[in-house]
Amino acid sequence: MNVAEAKLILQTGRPGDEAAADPRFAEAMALVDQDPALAAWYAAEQRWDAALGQALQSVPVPPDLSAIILERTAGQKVVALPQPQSLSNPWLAWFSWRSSLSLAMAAAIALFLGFTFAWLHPKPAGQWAEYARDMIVTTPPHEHHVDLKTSDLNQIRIWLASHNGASGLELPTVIGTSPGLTGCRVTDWHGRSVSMLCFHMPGAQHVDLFVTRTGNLSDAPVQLEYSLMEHQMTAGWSTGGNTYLLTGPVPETFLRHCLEPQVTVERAWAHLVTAPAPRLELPTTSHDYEPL
Amino acid sequence: MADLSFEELVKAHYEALYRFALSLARAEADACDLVQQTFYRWATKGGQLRDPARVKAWLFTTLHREFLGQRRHADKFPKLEISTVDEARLTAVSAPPEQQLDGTTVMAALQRLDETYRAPLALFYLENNSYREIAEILEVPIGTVMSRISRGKALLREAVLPKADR
Repeated sequence: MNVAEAKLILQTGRPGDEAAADPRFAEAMALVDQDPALAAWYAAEQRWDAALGQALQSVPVPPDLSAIILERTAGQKVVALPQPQSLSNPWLAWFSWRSSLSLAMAAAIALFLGFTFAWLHPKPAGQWAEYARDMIVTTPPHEHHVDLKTSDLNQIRIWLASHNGASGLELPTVIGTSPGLTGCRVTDWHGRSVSMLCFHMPGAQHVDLFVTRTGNLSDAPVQLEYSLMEHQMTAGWSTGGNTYLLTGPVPETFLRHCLEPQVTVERAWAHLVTAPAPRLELPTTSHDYEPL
Repeated sequence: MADLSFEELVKAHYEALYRFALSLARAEADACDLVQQTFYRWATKGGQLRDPARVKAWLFTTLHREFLGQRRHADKFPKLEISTVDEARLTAVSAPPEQQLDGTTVMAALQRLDETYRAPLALFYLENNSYREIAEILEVPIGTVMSRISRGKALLREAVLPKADR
C-alpha cells in the first residue's frame, strides 16, 4: 500500500467504526505509525473532519418541527414496532409457518409477473451523457476497482462472458495490446449490464474502458467523439453492437493516441512518459461543452 | 428500541433528519416537508420493518427516497424560487479558518456541491455514519460511497477554505 492509497482509506473510515475491522484500514494505520508526514496529514484530516462535523451538527433546527410532525400524524394510527415473538405456542408456530408459505408463494408469483412484464416491456434506453457521468463518478477506487485481476485479455473475455458482461469486444490496437491491462469487473447501470476494463498507465495514471450494449443508450455515439465530463476526458464510440467509453485523468492527446489505428502502444505510452504531469486539455468542439 | 413510542422516535431522530434533508433540498421549508413526510410514512408503514435496530437507517433511506421522488417531479415541472436561487448563487462563502467554521457557512458550501456528493458527505459528517451504513442508506455499493466521500471531501474543502489554506 502506498501513501496515496492509505490516504484514501483513512479519509473514508474512522478508527472507531466498522472500517477499523477492515485489514486495509489497519494497514493504512500502520503506515501512519511509520511515516511522520502521513501522520501529520492524518491528524490534520481528523481535526478537519471534527470541525466540519461539529459545524454541520450545529445548524439550527426549526423549534416547532417536532410539534408539527406529531400534530400531522395525530390522526394516523401509528404502527408500532413489532415485538419479537416467541414461537413456543404451537398454534402461533403453525400460523407463522402458514404465513411464511403464503408469503413465499406470493413472492414467487410476483417474481414471475415481474420477469414477464420486464420481458414484454424492456427498459427504455438511457442517455449517453448521464451514463458516462455515472460511470466516472461511481467507479470504486483501489481494492474495489476490479473484480478480476489479470492482464490476460482472453481470460477477461471468458470471465465477462460468464458474468453477464460484454461479448464481442472489438478493441482498438493500443488498448487491445496494452501491457497495462490490470483487470475487469461487471457493474449495473439502471438494470443494464456494463463491463469495465482497467488499464494502468505510466505516471501512476490509469484509464477505464466501459462497454455496454448500444441498445442500452438512446443516443450512443456512433462515431468517435471526445468530451470533458466530471473533470475527465472521455472518448466514446460504437461498433459491433457495443458502445465504448474510454476515460481517465489523462490528456486528450493520450486518448487520441490510444484510439488512432496507426499508433503503436509504445508511441502512446511514450506520450505519457514525456508528459509526466497529465493535464486536461480544452475540448476542441462545441459539442464538448454541452451541459450534462 | 422496540419500546420506543412514536413521540420518542420523533424526538430521537428529527433533528438529524432535518439537517440531512436541508443538505439535500437546500431550502428550509422543503427540508421540513421531507422530514414530516418521512415520519408520516413511518406512522403508516414503519411497522412493516421487522428489525427494530434498523429504524434509523429506514428513516434516512425513506427521506432520501422522498427527496429523489420530489426531485424527479421538480425536473418535470421546474420551479425557481428567486430568493433561494439568488442567495445560493450570489453569496460567496467567506473563508474562515478551520477553527472558526460555522454551521451555516459549511451547510451553504455543502449545498452547492453536486447531489452525488451531498448525500454521502452529509451522512458522513452529520451522523458519523460508517461507509457501510451510508451505502445501506443510499442503496449504492460501498466502493461507490468511498469514492464519493473522497471526492466530495476535496470539493467541500475547496468550497470552504481559501486557496492558501488547502
